[in-house]
Amino acid sequence: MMITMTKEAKNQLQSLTLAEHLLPRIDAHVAGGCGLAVNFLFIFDQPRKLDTLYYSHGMAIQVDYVTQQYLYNTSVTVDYNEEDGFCAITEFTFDGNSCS
Amino acid sequence: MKPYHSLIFEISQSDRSAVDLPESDVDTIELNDKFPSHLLRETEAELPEVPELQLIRHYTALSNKNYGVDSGFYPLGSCTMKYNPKLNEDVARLEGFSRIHPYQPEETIQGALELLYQLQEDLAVISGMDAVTLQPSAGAQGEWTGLMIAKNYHRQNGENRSKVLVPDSAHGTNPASAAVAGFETVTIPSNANGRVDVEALKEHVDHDTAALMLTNPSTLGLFEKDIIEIADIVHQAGGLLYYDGANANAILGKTTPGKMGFDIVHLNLHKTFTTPHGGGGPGAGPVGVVKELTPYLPVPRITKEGDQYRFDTEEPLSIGRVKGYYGNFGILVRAYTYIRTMGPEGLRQVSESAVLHANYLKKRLEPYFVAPYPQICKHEFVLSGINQKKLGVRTLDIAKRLLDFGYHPPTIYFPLNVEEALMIEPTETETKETLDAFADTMIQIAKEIEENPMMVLEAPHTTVIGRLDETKASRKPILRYTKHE
Repeated sequence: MMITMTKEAKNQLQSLTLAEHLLPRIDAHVAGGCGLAVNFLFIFDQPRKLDTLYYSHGMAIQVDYVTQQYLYNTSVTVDYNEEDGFCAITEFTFDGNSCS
Repeated sequence: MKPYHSLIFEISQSDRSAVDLPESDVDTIELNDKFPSHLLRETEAELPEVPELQLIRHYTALSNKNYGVDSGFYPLGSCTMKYNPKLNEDVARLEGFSRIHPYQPEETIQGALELLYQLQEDLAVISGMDAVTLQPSAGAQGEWTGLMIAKNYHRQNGENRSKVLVPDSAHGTNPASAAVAGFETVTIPSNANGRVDVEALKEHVDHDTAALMLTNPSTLGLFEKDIIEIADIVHQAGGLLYYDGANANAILGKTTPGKMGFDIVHLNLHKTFTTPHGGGGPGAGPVGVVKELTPYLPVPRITKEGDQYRFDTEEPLSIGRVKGYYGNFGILVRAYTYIRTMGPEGLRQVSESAVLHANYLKKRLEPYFVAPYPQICKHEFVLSGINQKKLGVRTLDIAKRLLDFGYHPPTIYFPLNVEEALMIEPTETETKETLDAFADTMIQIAKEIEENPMMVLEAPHTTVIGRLDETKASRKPILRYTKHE
């Protein structure tokens, strides 16, 4: 997995003072029911066991085991804008279905 | 790989067959003389050629790969995967039910019509409604039917209400059905106790509100204790209260949506009344309504005049027919059989046992998984895998690991307002031994996550196919079989 960062994201990250126990993370967010939909978030979070650290512009970004499974061999771009905040832009999202 | 794990086309060998046809005793005709040449094949159809025994083994092996309630425990939350008694199947196959035609004259199918009529009556009593239609062929179609009834009711009153309110814990079909019925959906948040936030509801209800759709108990397995106040709020604004019957197994025989103030109810016969879950096959989502809404029900309705049963199509305000013929008749026979074999006391015992089983299992698992709503639940409960997530293992992995022990996983990542959700509904038809065995397995998995997380992260280990590459399946789906020479 290759992580790149836009200039806006880099500047915003460098301007933040994070609490000591928090690090940036790219995280698979799963919504389910009868099917699964997976999209990817850029959040600030505590380390999890079995995390892998990736570096972009000298900044460490955590990725857990499940998220890596979804994003291996892909590139992820971290972006920032005033309206949405940080976003992890991936090559795909993964939608499921639902039923009654 | 054993041959019966291959596709039928891959085990095919030319000149083998399951059937030997006798020599034709009629004259052969030239297809070219009868059909335009562009309609004729240029190459032989590649039909599989296999002996009968291999054919039987192939499809038997395929059928054994299915997992159902008859195979093992299936605690899929909100789906009510209870045992479907085989007596239902026997009754549905009786010739008087299985060999009749929808266009037969009414006088020749009085028994079938009586069954439909009685089922309408029984479901009306069970739901506390005044009249029921059996036409909708699934829960979601029942939702749509109910919302169309609401829309026509408001229009008849000179109102064009455009909003349907839906709690954030609702089934995804609720907002979907509302959208298909032409409404705008507004989400009502839950409060800290997991129930509808009444103050937020008051803020959103207005004279543009057509209906509030509610499941009670909710998908969190929690009974909406404020239901009477909720009903009053909606009714005072002129809106209707819609009951999603997905969780009716929790209240069966104990109370009714009618007593709670609901105006429209759909019931899922495949959940509460032991008809098979269709998997795309036939289903039924009957809809019940209060007296005021009865004229809007779909037609034909089954009515009784004297001792004769008939199809009644004479209702000018009806929303019309919503399903071909009269619903999925065979499914309705199964549900009626279940209701009659259980009787009122049996149906009450269903909900009592379903609630007891859920609370027993919840108590056993609470020390190992976070229970975001620790109070007594109804027929199902929701756990959260947030502590396991800190150890690098997600709820998805727990679900995969359960496959190794022969269980169908619970519903995962739903409701959406619980992080890393595991939604467990054991149903009333399981034994204490089954519940204990499942609890033991969940506890073992919780311990594995602490001591040997890779065992869980790489699961399943014992299934025919291990962990699927869902990413590849999403990015490069193979949707067409290609024969490899």
